[in-house]
Amino acid sequence: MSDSLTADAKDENPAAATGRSAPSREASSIALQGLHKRFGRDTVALAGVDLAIEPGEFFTLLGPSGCGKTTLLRILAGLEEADRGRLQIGGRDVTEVPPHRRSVNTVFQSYALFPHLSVRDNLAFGLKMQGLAVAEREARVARIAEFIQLGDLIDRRVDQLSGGQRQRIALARALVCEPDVLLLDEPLSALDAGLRSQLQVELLRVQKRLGMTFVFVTHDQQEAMVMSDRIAVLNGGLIQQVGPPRDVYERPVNAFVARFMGHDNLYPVTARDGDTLTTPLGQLHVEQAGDGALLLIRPETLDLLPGDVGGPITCRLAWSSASTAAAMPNIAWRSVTSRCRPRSATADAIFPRSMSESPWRWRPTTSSPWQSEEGTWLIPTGSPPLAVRPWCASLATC
Amino acid sequence: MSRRSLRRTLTGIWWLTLLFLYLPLAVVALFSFNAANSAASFTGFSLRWYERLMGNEEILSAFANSMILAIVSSVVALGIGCFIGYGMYRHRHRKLGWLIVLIYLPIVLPDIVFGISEMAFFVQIHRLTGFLQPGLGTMIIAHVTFQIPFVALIVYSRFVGLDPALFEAAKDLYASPAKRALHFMLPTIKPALISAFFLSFTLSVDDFVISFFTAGPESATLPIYIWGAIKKGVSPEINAVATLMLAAVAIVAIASLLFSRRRPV
Repeated sequence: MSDSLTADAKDENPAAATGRSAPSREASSIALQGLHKRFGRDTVALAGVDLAIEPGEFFTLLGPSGCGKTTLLRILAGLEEADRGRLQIGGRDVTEVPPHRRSVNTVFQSYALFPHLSVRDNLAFGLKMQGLAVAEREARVARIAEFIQLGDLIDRRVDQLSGGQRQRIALARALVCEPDVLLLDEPLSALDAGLRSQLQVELLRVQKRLGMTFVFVTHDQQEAMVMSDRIAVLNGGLIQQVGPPRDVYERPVNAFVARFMGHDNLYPVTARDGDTLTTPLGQLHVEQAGDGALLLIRPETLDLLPGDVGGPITCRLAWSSASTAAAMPNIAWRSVTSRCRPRSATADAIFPRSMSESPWRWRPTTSSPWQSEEGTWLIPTGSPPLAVRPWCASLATC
Repeated sequence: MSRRSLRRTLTGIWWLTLLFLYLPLAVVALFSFNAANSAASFTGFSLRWYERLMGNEEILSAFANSMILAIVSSVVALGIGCFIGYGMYRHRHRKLGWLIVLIYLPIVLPDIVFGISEMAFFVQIHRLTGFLQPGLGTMIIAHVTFQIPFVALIVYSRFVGLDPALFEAAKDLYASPAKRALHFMLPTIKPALISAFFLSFTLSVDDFVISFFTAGPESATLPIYIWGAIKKGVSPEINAVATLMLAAVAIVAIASLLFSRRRPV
């Protein structure tokens, strides 16, 4: 049982990680039913949450601050008690089990490493509290230190560590207990961008190798897209949508999810005739239109077509973040602004054709004949208005 | 006034302050080594007053009383104050206004008022029940009472300075309430407990007023002994006692300072 970590660490084949021998270390499922939580009289943190998390899933709770995601995580950890509702972990009802009797460990946002202990003693703390013998503790700490590649950090004092190092120690301290479920409360939010993407990859590696159920809390949609098997988007104490990243991104169920996933191109549909919608952008022909009253145009479905441009324009180029896109199937967006030459500018002149055929797309913004409140879209003169390729179904207003 | 002369004036005040603070102490220390029997002139170096001190039963018993009182009261105050400090931290989000004022009141209350009321209280209890005869016992109770707020305050501020997530991390890492206290809270506040002990100890050794009102005939401490002896005039022997007390308090204060500097985070 305790060897599972080493076996997985040495085996490069992720499939081996799922085929674990010890049944007690099988990844656990999580089931939430009708969870309510209120702070004081007026603050509703959770307003009835039902959720099922599969064993071995990298599951992300995504939402703006105050949406209830952290409260939900704390209820899973047992640090907060729900007012109503049930919670099952691995098929066992743990609604009233105190945190120190749950096989759940947390990586805290502030890392919460004990200042009075060395790194080694921090790692061993959970094992010591469980009453493991010294030899067993030392062996497991050594194994996790190797697995997370802590190197000589293990003999440092906590106040000698940098933010990234603390983060990894906090992760190791939670993992060494081999919990059924690992909870991560915005563990990367305090780190700079470079370290952050490095640790994102590291976290995914750990999760895939151990096959452990991870519940990850973040307010960063890009992070959620890159990391998760499935995402639950929360707002106002309610789950708005649950699904794989691509689904949530491409088919948001309402305007909140659409905006939160980075789409600001929402337009009211004023009239419709079959597949033809009247919007502030003009009349658009679309496929697979839904029933809603909002039109969402995802930026990557737009192409700028060749033609004459009537004035100075500013282009915003959006592309898949290359490093993460190569490693992950999910999409991450970044943008830069570049100035285009006035008058003669055409799509062909600005960008070589090959670029427009690559997975890169670009979307222009400037003052243009068609301006809406939400955003502006440059439509080169003398070309068809907008080439909207397979696009997201129109949305219900919310 | 020009900038320069202002600076000079301030420097002058600084040295003057130091002078008033430490010169009297230095004089007492110096005259404790005086060979002569008078406080008027220093005639030569001698340890005779210290030797005499060692032979004085009264002083030795006063010294023993002071130590017993200081150590026992500090330990008891540490125990109680530590719980109060934790309680204040634990319930800091509730409105504890009056309770906090009640706990802190002894810090600002004039010693003499406190001493007199303690005395009256102990006398009444003694008359009614026969318990609490004035003596070391009553002094310990009185000292504990005024030490508690200091201990509670130090422990509380240590807890407040901690990341609240640490308490949750301990729970999360399988520590039961008893194990949390033993393996997390106690080690974490240990530096605070040590400084609180030193502070209580010095407060107790220092105290005259409250001790004076609550003492019994057999339980004179050093300050009370000095007070009694001084009525017959300041003898060099008193200087020697004062110098020893000074040295003891200075050592404890420096130890406490060094310790608090070394504490991590």
